[in-house]
Amino acid sequence: MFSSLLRGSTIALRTASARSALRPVAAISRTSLVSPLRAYSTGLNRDDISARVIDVVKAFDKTTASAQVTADTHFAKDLGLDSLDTVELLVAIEEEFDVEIPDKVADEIKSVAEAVQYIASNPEAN
Amino acid sequence: MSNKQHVLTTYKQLIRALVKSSKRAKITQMKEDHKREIALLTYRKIGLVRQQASDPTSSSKGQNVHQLHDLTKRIQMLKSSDPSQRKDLHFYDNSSRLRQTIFQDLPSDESVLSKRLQHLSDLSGFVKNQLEYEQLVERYNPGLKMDQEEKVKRTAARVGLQVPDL
Repeated sequence: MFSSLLRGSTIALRTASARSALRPVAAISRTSLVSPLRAYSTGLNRDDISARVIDVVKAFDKTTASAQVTADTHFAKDLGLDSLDTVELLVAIEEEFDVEIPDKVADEIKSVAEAVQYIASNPEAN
Repeated sequence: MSNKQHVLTTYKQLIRALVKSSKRAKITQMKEDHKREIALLTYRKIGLVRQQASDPTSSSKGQNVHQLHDLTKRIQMLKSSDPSQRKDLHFYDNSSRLRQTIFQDLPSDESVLSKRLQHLSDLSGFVKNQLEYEQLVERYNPGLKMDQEEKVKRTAARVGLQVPDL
């Protein structure tokens, strides 16, 4: 009689522990349902981006006519940069916005406007 | 064409690694320089003030006031400027020399060229990993870059004491 009582208590314990083990799982799934998205800072507007890109271009000591860098300056035509210079400039822009531009996209970027366009379309830029 | 593309990609990797690794050192260096300059300017300012106090009837009083004002302005400017915001940190300084060493005798033979490019990308990998290694060592040993004053303060705090403010 005593042993059956003991057995009953262990069963009760087991169910209790099973329940308590279940509960946090439920809680976690509920909180993860509330905010499944991560909030990225999207405080970049186009004027900001273009001003920063222009600043970076101006800081590049190989630019010939650094005084007149505007939003639609072409790297090769207006600044006289060769392909290696362009690569350096793009790396600098990457560093400024803390992104990594994939090579295929980077080949297409040949002017300030295109760089601004890419940065604006990249959600990770900051 | 594809060769050129390959060269450019490798060059980009190298530049990226070099910029990233030199940036940190440059920022530390600049901060150090700033501190030193601020100390120097403050010292000069104190000297001027003392001189003025000891000799109030000096003929060059107006000039002194002007100098003092100038010094204060420069100290303010140095204190408010943040070296990590500078745009020229994003560039590698010695790129012209780097280019010279890489491209002056670029082999035209396909296999030799690919070997050379492989070597260059290995170099950039090394620079990148070395940076990461240094960062980890620093993170796991916070005492490494602490100056003596900070170390004494923390050691005292560990046994519940405080270093007196001097």
